[in-house]
Amino acid sequence: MMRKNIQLDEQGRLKHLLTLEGLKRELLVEILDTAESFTSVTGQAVKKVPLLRGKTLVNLFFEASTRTLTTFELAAKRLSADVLKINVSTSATSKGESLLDMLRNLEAMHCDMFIVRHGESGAAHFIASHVAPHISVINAGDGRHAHPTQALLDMFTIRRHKGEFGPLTVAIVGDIMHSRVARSQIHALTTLGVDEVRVVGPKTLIPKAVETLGVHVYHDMEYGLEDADVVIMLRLQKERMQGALLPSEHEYYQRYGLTMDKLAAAKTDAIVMHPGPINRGVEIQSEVADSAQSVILEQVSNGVAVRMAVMSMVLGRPAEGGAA
Amino acid sequence: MRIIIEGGRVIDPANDIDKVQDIYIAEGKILARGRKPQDFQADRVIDANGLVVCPGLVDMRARLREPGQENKATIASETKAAAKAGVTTLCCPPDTDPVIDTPAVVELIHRRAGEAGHANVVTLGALTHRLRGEQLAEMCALKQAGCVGVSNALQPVDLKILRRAMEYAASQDLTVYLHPEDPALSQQGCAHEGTVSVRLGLPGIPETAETVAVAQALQLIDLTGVNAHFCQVSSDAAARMIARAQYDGAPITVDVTAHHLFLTEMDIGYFNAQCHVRPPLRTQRDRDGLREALVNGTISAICSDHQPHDTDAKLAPFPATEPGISAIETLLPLALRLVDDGLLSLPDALSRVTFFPANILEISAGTLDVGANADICVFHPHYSWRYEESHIVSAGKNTPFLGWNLKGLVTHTLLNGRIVHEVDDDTLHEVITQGAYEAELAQSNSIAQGQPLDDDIEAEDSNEEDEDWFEPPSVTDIDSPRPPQTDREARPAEDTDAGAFVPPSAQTTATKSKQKKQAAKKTAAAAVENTNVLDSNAFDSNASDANALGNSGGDHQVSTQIDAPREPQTDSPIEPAAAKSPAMAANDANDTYKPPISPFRVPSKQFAPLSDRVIKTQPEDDNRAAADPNSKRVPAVKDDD
Repeated sequence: MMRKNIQLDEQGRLKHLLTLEGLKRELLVEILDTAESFTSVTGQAVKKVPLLRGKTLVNLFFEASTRTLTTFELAAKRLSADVLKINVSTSATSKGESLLDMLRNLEAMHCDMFIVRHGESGAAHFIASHVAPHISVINAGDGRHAHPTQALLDMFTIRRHKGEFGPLTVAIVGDIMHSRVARSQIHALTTLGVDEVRVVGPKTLIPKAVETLGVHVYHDMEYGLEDADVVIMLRLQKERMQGALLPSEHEYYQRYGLTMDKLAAAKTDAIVMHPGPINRGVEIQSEVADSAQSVILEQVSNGVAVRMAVMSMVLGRPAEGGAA
Repeated sequence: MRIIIEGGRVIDPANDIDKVQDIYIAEGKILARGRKPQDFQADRVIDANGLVVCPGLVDMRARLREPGQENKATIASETKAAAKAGVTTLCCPPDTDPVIDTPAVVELIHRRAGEAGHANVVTLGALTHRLRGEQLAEMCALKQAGCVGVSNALQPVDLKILRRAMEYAASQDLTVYLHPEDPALSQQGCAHEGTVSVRLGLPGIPETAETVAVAQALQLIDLTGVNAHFCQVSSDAAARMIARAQYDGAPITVDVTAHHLFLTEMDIGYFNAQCHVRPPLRTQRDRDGLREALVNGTISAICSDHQPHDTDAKLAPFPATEPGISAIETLLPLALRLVDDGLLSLPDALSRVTFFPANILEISAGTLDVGANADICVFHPHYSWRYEESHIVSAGKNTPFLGWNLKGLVTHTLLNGRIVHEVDDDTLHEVITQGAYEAELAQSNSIAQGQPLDDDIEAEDSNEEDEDWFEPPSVTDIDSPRPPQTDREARPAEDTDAGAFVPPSAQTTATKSKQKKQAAKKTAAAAVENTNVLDSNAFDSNASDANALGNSGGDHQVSTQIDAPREPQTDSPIEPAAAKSPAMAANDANDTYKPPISPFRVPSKQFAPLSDRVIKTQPEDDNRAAADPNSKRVPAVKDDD
């Protein structure tokens, strides 16, 4: 039952968005193109299109989030959908209700889409394989597994700045081990045909066998950034110090913090990205974050367009042709 | 009740028997085999024509969930599943609730099992009080209450306590059952640390969690001299470390779960929680290494590690699901699949789920000795069916094998001479007719593939059919994996009168004793020669040294009638590995130890035979014999030095 790609329907169209792994390049490009068409909506005086009117979306966030939650909500509202937000930490699962029971209850309320964030890898797959057939699931981050919309908005941002993916060298720096964002980015970049994807970090933060995903591993920042077109910094979570993964924030910043000096190894027109939230002075220097090369805020605004694109492709099929 | 099991192909690996024979059962014991005792009046005749009759299976590790988790399963429900699967004895690890650390719990389990009456249950006692790893459990009291060994199950024990526990267990003559997993390295992992865990973002359990624990345990075993058993080794590296220790004479035995011989991390696919097990499914390379270790005897037993769960246990995101497979009902079918895969002969495969586990547990089971308890499994080796949830008797329906085509349907299970499971007549009829058809199909396939059918051989065989049935060797007589039996006499079409049969046993026995005598003189070169003979498929070889091989060749060809391997071509070169091992083991007795050639190469005595033919990665520079899986209980070959 888990063997086939449950993300696609019989016609090969997107039914759920759970991970970017296994999706065709054409489909990713279609999402990016659709997102492009929605950027104009954001600029209009009336920032709404009626694509998802009458649909009910549920934001099911089992983990705290600010940006992802708000951009999903914003995207849904701009598509004229009704949005429910369930704050799970205060709801029934903490009273012992199982995840599945909760889903059944929500299904009974005739929702059309679940946008799920959960702390366990595979949660989105689990939910998608157990919901009623008319419901779509979008993964807004599950454990260390995937965060597909984040990766898509990163691709969208890269494409806006660099045009073609083919000739690029992209370096992803930091805590690859615990990062769902990095995994989705790697799948997206390799699918879109990026020439070289690098991961940079100390061995404690780079998972074993990561090469099998099609990336090159660097433990030295200078070599890792050499001639890079795109530098993606990942957030370093403070609790990593407790797991003996790193000696100190200070030393991490010295070796892997992105400073103007280290950025000099990359191409002069390299862009700097970060999924946020930023720890200034831990993984990135303030000057870099605020520099002209930084596209961090742009990522956030692109997030709305990309999420609108995904939602409309998953739910708004009749209008899909017009949007794309 | 007096029962005759008539006309079945009797395979009793403990006694080197593989022939069509009748079995006479009275008062719960096996009264006789072959010749009908005088005045025997049967109350019930089981017609086993076309079926295999073997000792009831012994499952080294099955969780029954009672006491403590009766919502998942009970002793009654799981022993019933065992009976249906041909398992007559199973061993319950101590991690029940309450823990098996007092005689009262042991007695409770034995009593419940006795009341249910579907299968024998033996228990392992706790190594430490409440498995907390702080204070030794009352091992002696547990032993007196009937525990066959002690274990801390999956709970961690630090080295100081483990050392003391081993020392104490050694002095009480108790075997310690170890689950090698270093908790600091495995942490919260739920999948093998490798390509799949990195792809799916699952917290990984590195291979080193196992190898580190094995390395430490090996040192402590050496220090304390305790008899130890490694449960469900999951990595190639660990198997090799243990093989080397066995070579050095350490009193260690090993088992592997059936699922680790068939599944890999890849089977997790997109978060298939049915493949969430502990230790985790590892790589293809590990799976092949475990198979290799099984064939060469490093790993002597296959267990199910049966863990029934309620459905909710698997209904969650992968890391939040509970590990384990409801596996007891697939134990025999998967063991038989190893025969189809060309790894083991049918008798050898059966020995890994009957005689060897019984031997490790030091219980009198797993044989068809005259006088032994009549714990018997009758099954059809060819009938295949698609495994569906509706087939599962166990309360736990959690298995990744649903949808697989399985072979080895158990038609009758006898426990202490009582029929505890039998299929209804319609099913039996279908099994026999359909199974015969499938057997024929397999046979014609093998003919189509150019395998000559060696019918002549059987005609020529002399007959001293009863040679071994009246001299049942005791367990300790058995010195090594037995040579594959000839299946010649096991022709279903033949009359069941054993006398009419060609005595496979004659030749086998002769071969065996000959091997024993000649082995000392044989050089490694002879082994090489044997290997070559095998590899060239020269079944017609009449060289005396190749006697055993000729046998196995005959086994292969003739056996197609009952036991047609699906892929005879892979089958033939591999199978003889087991055939050779007795000779090789004997060889070793007269061989002085030579250090391994490279520190990273396993003592090649363990691996050369198989790797030469299957893995084909190791040079043929050392052809010393295969390990003796039995080295622990039997006066080890080493000791003869």
